[in-house]
Amino acid sequence: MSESADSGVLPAPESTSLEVMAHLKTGKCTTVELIRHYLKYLETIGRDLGAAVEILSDSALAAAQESDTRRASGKPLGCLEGVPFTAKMNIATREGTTDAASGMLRGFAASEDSTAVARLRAEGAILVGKSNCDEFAMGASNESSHHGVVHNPWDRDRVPGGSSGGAAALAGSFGWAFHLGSDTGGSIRQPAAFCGATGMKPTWGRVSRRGLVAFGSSLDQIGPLTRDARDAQLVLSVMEGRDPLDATSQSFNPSETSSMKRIGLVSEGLTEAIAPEIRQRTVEVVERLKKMGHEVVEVSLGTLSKANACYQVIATAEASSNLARFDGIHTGQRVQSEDLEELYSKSRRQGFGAEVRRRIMLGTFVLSSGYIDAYYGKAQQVRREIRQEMLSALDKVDSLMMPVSPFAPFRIGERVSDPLALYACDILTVTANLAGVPAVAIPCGFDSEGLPIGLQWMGKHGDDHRLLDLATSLQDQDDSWRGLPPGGSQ
Amino acid sequence: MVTDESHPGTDSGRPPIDAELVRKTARLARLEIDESEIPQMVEHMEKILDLVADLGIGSGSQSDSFSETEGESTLPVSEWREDVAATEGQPGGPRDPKVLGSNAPDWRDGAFVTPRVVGGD
Repeated sequence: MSESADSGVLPAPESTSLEVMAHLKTGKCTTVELIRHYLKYLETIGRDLGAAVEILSDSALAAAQESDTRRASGKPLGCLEGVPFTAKMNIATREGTTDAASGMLRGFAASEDSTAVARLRAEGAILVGKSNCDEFAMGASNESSHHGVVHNPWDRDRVPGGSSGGAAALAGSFGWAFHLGSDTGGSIRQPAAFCGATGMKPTWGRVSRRGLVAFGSSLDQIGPLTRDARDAQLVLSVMEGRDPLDATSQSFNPSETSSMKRIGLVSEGLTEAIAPEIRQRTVEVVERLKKMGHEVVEVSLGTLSKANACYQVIATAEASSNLARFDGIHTGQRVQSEDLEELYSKSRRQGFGAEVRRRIMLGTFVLSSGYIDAYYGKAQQVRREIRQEMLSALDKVDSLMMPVSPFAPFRIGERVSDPLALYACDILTVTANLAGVPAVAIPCGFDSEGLPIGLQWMGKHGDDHRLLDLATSLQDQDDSWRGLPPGGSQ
Repeated sequence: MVTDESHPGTDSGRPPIDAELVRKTARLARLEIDESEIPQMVEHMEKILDLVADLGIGSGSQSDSFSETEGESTLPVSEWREDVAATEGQPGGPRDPKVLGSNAPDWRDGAFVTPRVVGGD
């Protein structure tokens, strides 16, 4: 328990969403008191970090009041009753704007909630704000947003990772809430690892993409960033399942429900390209898994070396196609011109930032006549190899584990001018997206500079909840993830 | 090597990237590009395409192309949603014109008012 607000006693700052719900149930504070304090946190720390770009005080307090009324009158409560949450700027919400952190969509107000947000609200969760991200979710450092950079709560001179950097910085610096991000090549897991949060990329198709601003449609998934895996389990169970408004969404029934006993340690995730302290930490977690009764065997994923190249072709090709709709006429900011072609090209030049333009250029090139077979066709072929190797490995083990990032959070500005240095952030995360499998990243301690280290576990299609069970059992053994950064929660 | 024989490849298997290729790609992408930006774009595209050469560009057949839904159970037609228009209040249904209109530059007599696409104000 911590400080009091109004007449109630608020939960401890590091409390998980589940703990917050238990606290509300005891009546120690009202939902209005809880939400009011969380809004204050967003206005102070959330703004200082650059993580909270819109704070929806009026609608959140109104929803909190309704929740208190429901509770007082004994009406049925949702399974996320009273829990605050934020949505990334590329996820549509009926309040606030959904600009995907791009000048192209400046001021765009969605008229409806995305399916994921609507399902969460229907279970009593309260939308409190929108979180910063890289422009159109393209980036690994949250330095390309037109709302400005986000700072890592563990060291404010460093990046929080990306593209869901705002969500991760919020999840890593304070408890209570959960945060929706999207993961196309690691955009939930890598920032979660950089900020000491738990991040889950569900199986492709498990969570409806309706209302998600498209980047790479065959790779994109909405997922939660939370304090721990139990919260991620609950949030995913509310969001998941077939949505008639997204033809690619599916309901999954896991073939197995037993715990994941046999773990494959991906040997390519322990090469010298990975920072020594991250490798060391991975070995320590392997030992812990063995003590917990798991069998850990080394597994080779030879296609990992091709995954980043494959991803750069497929993601940029899909991005160039998806972003073609932003032409300044139907959608997006317009630069008026006497000439139609000029209107398009000037509007797009002005509306998109440098990283998005670079990816559109590359995507256009790999799809252009004379190059499409050599690049896009080849990448699709390699993608199939990656998927087949991954599924073949997952026939022999329940889960594959490796680090999330090859290095610790880097300094703001350190990599921004070199696209290859930024794309190197993705080398261990893109494989799960290319294969469409679920992957969870959890914090696994700190390096000698006090920066969080995250490891990830991948499973077969549909094994999302088994993965989260495994993550929960690890977090029950070591609660170092509970700690908040100095000053982060004040 | 790339499939188009008019573009001889480099040692890494990628075609040479020059200012003209960047201008052509920018035209296809409908992106205005300033002459001063071209040298850096050439450099970045070269670097990225060298990275992409790890794929073994141009080798092998394309017959094994990927489909995201392959191997997954696809939804039977009987489970598709009914092909009926959503009504007001349902997701995807007609929406409050005031809400929709908030994204338009102007709203007059029940219609969006936007600038002319070409010519005039």
